[in-house]
This record gives sequence, structure tokens and C-alpha cells, in this order.
Amino acid sequence: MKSGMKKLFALLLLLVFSFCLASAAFADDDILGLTPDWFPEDLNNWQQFHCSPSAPRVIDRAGILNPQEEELIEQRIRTISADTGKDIAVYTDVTAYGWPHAIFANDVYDFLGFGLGDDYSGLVLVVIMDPADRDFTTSAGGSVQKLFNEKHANELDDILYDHFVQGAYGAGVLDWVDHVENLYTTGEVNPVPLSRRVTTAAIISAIVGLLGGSVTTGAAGGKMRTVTTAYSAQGHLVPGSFRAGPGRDILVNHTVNRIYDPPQPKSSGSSGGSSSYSSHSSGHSGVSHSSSSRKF
Amino acid sequence: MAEPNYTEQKCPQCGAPLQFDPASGNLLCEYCGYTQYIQHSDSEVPQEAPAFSSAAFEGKPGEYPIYNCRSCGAEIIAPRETAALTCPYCRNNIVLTDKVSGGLKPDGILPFKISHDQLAGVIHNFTKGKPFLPPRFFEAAEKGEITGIYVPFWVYDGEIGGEVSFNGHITHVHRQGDYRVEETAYYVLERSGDMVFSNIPADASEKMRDDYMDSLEPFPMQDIMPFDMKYLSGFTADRFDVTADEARIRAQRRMLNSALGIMESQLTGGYSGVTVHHNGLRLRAENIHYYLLPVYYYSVTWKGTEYTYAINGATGKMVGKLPTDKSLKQAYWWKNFGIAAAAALVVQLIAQLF
Repeated sequence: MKSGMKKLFALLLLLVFSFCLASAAFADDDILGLTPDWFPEDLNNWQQFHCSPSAPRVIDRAGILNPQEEELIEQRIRTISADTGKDIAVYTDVTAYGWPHAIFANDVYDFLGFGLGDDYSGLVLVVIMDPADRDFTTSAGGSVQKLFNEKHANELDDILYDHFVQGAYGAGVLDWVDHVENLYTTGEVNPVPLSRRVTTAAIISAIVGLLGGSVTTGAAGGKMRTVTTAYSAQGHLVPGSFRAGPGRDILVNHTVNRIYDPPQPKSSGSSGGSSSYSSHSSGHSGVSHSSSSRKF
Repeated sequence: MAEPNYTEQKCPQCGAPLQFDPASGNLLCEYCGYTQYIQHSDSEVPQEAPAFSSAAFEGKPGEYPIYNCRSCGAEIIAPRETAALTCPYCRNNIVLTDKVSGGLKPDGILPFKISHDQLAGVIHNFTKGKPFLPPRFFEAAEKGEITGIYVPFWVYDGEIGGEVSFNGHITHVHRQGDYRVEETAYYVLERSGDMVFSNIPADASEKMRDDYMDSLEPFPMQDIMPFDMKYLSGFTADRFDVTADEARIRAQRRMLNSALGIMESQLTGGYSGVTVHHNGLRLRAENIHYYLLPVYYYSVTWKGTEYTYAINGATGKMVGKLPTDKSLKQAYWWKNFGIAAAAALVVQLIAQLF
């Protein structure tokens, strides 16, 4: 009996000790030691690097793109990067390994060596197809961070969202890549064509001209009118003759209207859903990025 | 019918008609240069109105008495209200004394200050700043005669007083959680007071357009002189054919409108939607003067249409309807359209760059 109690006590101790070890493991942001295969083994000695120019820019681990779509997107990205000197990459996966998706996207950017030039400029789209937590995150690095402001982030997210909610992942990514090219080349995600800008400017100028011409002509016409009937004797008031008598203000009624008018929640998305934007985010490397996430 | 009384001002040196000279304020002979000073009587311009507010006319409207000019013997027909005229044949100046004496004697007269010679400059100044006036309108138009006429006016002083009440409200808006709360307080605002208006003119002549006479204001009433027939020489004059009772309504309306505006200006406290609830303002006291005020009348005909102008004979202010050159107006519109549109284009271009 005494030996049985001792064994039971030892087993209990072992369980408690194991639990503590597991807790320590959880505190390390690492689900039982699972990390992506590209995660650096020695984070303290990791240095930022450029991946090989021939390394794929489309990594579809979640399998949402068919081979033709992958090839097409890859070609578009290479063309744009060659023209603009800025990188674009697309990464899909079924899990973010328990990490916040913005951190995960920044890690994809840094630890897969994306970004071109000395400042590692580029945009990386990370799509997480976790059924419990499905979203896409865009991470911007280097000089592209200046272009990737909240307005442009929302516009790019809108484009992806509209396709993704319908399951059109390939078309969505292609459309997204085309608009990233707009952003790189014109500074706008949805640049207004020159013809429309000229037309808008001409219309506004015409309206202003119409108003200006009419107001000035009306004023000049007033100078032509010299004959008016007098309805006032203001100029004939004897100075100092006005004597004010007693007066009073009588409150006769008081009404209170309460109108239900809750403040509108600030929505960062215009086509559906809302984005979480951060101008300063980073992954495990500590390198600064801008990022925007949206669930779909 | 007995011949009415009238007088003619003749130069004692050469016998030519004497004219009132606005520049000097005296009678002047244009032929020999003789000047006759008009001695002002010691009497002041009466401050109390004579009791002729309901004076009836002699005879019937439309009757035209006949006068014989003492200089040339010509027969002159003049409307019954005419008090002074010039013989169209010998230019003799005739003052019909029965129209300006006794019970019909004006309280005062504002002599002409603008002479005929100065009228060209007055007309030239009038055309300045009129962008749609046909070019050289007054030079090109068929010009009528410029007539200097002393127009009869009733001039009113009045004391207005009483109480006025207004409706007004004040609204405050604030938030309480998810609710927008609007609190409105409604008031009746009672105000009282009195004030005095003076020298409000209303012309006493049927043939003069009221809006033209209103537009000629202000007349410098401080320059009113005691009435003397000598001022009428060289000018036409009319006596009143609109009674003071009939003209009063125009002056009263002006006084009451202004009084209401003054009472409304006494409202402080940021009230909105102010409307008059009850207007108890009344004319409490009144003084009426009968004056002759100087006006030049001038007509031109242009493209078959007659245009009439009036000039304040004391200040030179000119009023009247002007024709509009449509092509000038259109060109003006297009010019300003172009300037405004170009400015808008430049602003948009600069905004695009930055």
C-alpha cells in the first residue's frame, strides 16, 4: 500500500513536470515545436538576404491556384519587377502556425528573402486558408512602404476581397498583381485615365466659368438699374432720437427631441469587410514593414 | 374768367428776362450781365405746417387757363398746376403768383445748384460704369430739351412709437450616448420704443414718377431757403396736385418699415426664425412741409423708344432707365466666363502637381 502511494505520487509529479514543460513550449509561440521549414534555426544570427532571382514568386502551399494560373502570375510578376525594380510575391498556406497573420506575412517576406534593391522593396501577399481563420495579409517592405498607405492598402484589399469571396482565387491574385503594377508605375492603385482627368477638369472649369460669367454680368446689370422705389427711411432717422422702452423675453414652450443616431463604425473597406492596417509592423526578424489584413 | 396774377422778372438795364443763376444764387441777365441779388427775408423756413393738407384745387383737373405774355403778347396755354413757365416765343420768364402765394405759398424752396452748363458733365458721369450702355448713347440719341422744374414735394417729419412682439427660438444640439438630443426653447420677445424721422420727401405732382423722385434722394434739406418767387425765374414750377393726405401713406410706410427694422435690431441672444407676432408701432406726431425741390427733366429718343431721365438739381444725381446693348452684354459674359474658367483650370493644374 505504501509503495502504491509512492508510485502514484511519482506519476503525479511527472504529470505536473510535463505540464510545465509544455507551458514553456507554448510560451515560445511554437505549437509543440512546429514552424515553417523556411523559418531560421538561429534567429539571433539571422541576416536579411535576397533570395535567388530565379526563386519562385508564387508559392501555393494551400493549393488554391491551378498550374496555369501559377505560371501566368509568375510571368506577370517577373515582368513587373524587371520594369519597376520592385518585388511582388504570393504565398498561400493552410496555417499561420499559430502566429498572428501580420507577423506571419512579415516573416514570409523576410525569411524567404523577398524584396529587391538595397532596401528590399516589394509587396508580398500571404493567403491563409485556415478554415477557422481565413484571411489575406499584404506586407510591404522598403520604399514600397511609402506607396502602401492605408488608402492604397484598402483599395488593393477590396480587389482581392471581391474575387476571393466568390472563390475566384486565381483571377483575384492576377487582378491584384495588375493593380500593384499601377501602384508601382503611377502611384495610384486605380489611376484615373488622362482623358477622364481632362474631361473632369474641363467640366469643372466650365461650371466655374458659367458661375463667374453669370455673377459678374448680374452685378454689372445692377449698375444699369438706377431707378428704385424707396421703402425705407433709415437715412432720415434723427440721430440720437431712438429711445428703447422696456422689453422682455417670455419663454412659452420648450421641446426636447431625442433621435437615435449611433455613431457609424469606422470601416476601412468599401466593398465588403474591413481591413486592419498598420504602418509599422514587423515579424520575428524585427525588420519594419507596413501591413494590411482582411478576413474573407 | 379774370386774368390770373403773374409777374415777369425783367432786367432794369436792358429789359431782357432775368434768369436765376444756380452758380451765384442770384438773378442774372444773360445779355448785359446785370446781377440782381436775392435778398433773403428775415423769416425762417416755417417749422409748423400750414393747414392745407386737405386743400382743394381751383377748377377741374385738365382745364387749361390761357395767359398773355406781357413782353410779346403771345397766348400761352399752361396746365392748371403750373406755377412758373417760360414764354416759348420770347423766352420771357413768367411766375403765376396766385399759384405760389397766400394759402398755396410753399414753406421753402431748394434753389438749383447745378446750372445748364454743368449738365453735360453730369450726363457724362452718369454713363461711366455702365458696361452694357450702347456706345455714345447720349451723343447718338435724338435729344429733347432739358427742362429745369421745381417739383412740389410734401416733406414729412414723424415720431413713431409703440410696442412690437416677435416670435423666436433657440436650439441646442448635443449627444447623449447613441442619441442626438435637440432642445428648442420658444419665446415671445416684447420690445418697445420711439424714434423720430425727419425730411422724408414724397412728391406732390401726379405727372412725376414716384420711383424717379425716390431715386433722386437725398435732397440737401439743410440748404432749403425761405420761398422767394425770384428763384423760379428761368425755370418751370408746378404747384401740388397730390394732397398731403394722399402722399402721407408713402412717407408713413417708409417710417414704419424702418422703425420695425430698428426694433428687430434690438433683439439679442442669438434667436433664430424671428417673425413678427404683433406690430403696435404707430405714428404719434407729424409735421408736414411744402417745398419746391429742383429737378431737371431730360428725354432722348433712341431707336424709336423714348428714354426719360431726371437729375437732382441740387446734387447732380441722375437717374433713368438705360437701354442695354445685347451684344455688349454677351461679350461681357463671355469675357468673364473665360477668365473664371481659365482661373479654375490653373488652380486644378497646380493641385494636380502638388
